[in-house]
Parts: sequence; structure tokens; C-alpha cells
Amino acid sequence: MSETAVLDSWAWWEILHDTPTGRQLSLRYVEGSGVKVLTVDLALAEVACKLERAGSHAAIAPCLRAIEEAGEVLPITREIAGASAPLLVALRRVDAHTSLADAVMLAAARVRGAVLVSDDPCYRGEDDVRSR
Amino acid sequence: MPEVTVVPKRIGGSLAVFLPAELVRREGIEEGVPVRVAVVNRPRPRVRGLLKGKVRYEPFDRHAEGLWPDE
Repeated sequence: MSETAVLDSWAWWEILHDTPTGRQLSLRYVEGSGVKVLTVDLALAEVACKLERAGSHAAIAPCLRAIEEAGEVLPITREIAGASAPLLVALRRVDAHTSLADAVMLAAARVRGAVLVSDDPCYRGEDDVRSR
Repeated sequence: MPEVTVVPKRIGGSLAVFLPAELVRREGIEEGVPVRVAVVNRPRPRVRGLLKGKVRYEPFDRHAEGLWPDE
């Protein structure tokens, strides 16, 4: 495998809905064989929450299972947590709405030497973040 | 063909493969008798479109979701 990618909740949501963007992302990162796919555990919780709010409780388990089986689930390790803290401060200098979850996602990607796949505006200008 | 999920753990240069008891019984595997183990890459499961037509699509926006409210 030549590339490692952390897929953010946004990316999984697009893929789960098979939107035009989701299709592109899936073909490039998930269905292709040359990419190692990583998902931060926090993203699983976010996807589950969105489904619950949409009244789709029954879809939570199959969706999380499918995401889990499509790659590797990353826990927030000490290394990732430590990298998240200064990153949150730095990202907030650019976008005041940056959340801790945003920082954790990018920190996880950087700790693993991966690109982050996300469309969140707080990552604008970051070289290792892609939305396609 | 029986399917086993193998979690390889390298121990002193060897590879330990733990087999479910039910599989050992069914296949008649005995201690000391060599068996052939094939490692096959499973195709990735389908994620794309799992929610299509089932859940109304609204883009995921971490901030709009209110999961992590700003202080």
C-alpha cells in the first residue's frame, strides 16, 4: 500500500450516501487496493449521532461495522492527544470555529503519516488535507 | 472452505495461528500434524450507498451538528 488516508466523518457520510463526491472518495480511497484507510474512533461516534438524530437508529450498527471493516479504527492514543493540543491552538488562529474534534482528526492523520480526507473549512491551507 | 480470521503474532520468528475449537474439531486438525494455511485477502466490504434512499441526505457538518458546541 502506497498511501494512507484518514477519512473524516464528512467523507464517510458522503460515501454512505453514495453522493457524487462520496463515489469519488470511495473509488479512490476505499474501493481501491492501494490505500490504507484509517478512521478515528471519534468519527464513528459522530456518524452514529447523526444517524440517531435522523431517526435511523437501526442503521447505526451496520454502518459502523462497514466502516470498521473497510480499514483500521484509530483510538485517540497519547501521541494523538498530545499532537491535538497545539494543533487546536494553531487551527483556531485561522478559523475560530475549529473544534477539538477537528484537531484530533488532523493530529491522528499526521501521527500516522496519512492525508486527512475532509471538507471542513477549518483545514483550508493545510497541505495534507484533501476533499477529493 | 472454512474461514478463519487470523491475527498474526510473531513469536521468536514463528507465526502463531489460533484456530477456533469448532474448526479444529470439524476439520480433524491434530497437534503435531501439519496443515496447510492459505492467507487470502478478503475484498473490502461495501460501504458506499449503505444509506442511499434510506436516510435523508444532509451534508455532515461537524459544527452545524452541534456535537461539539463552541465555548
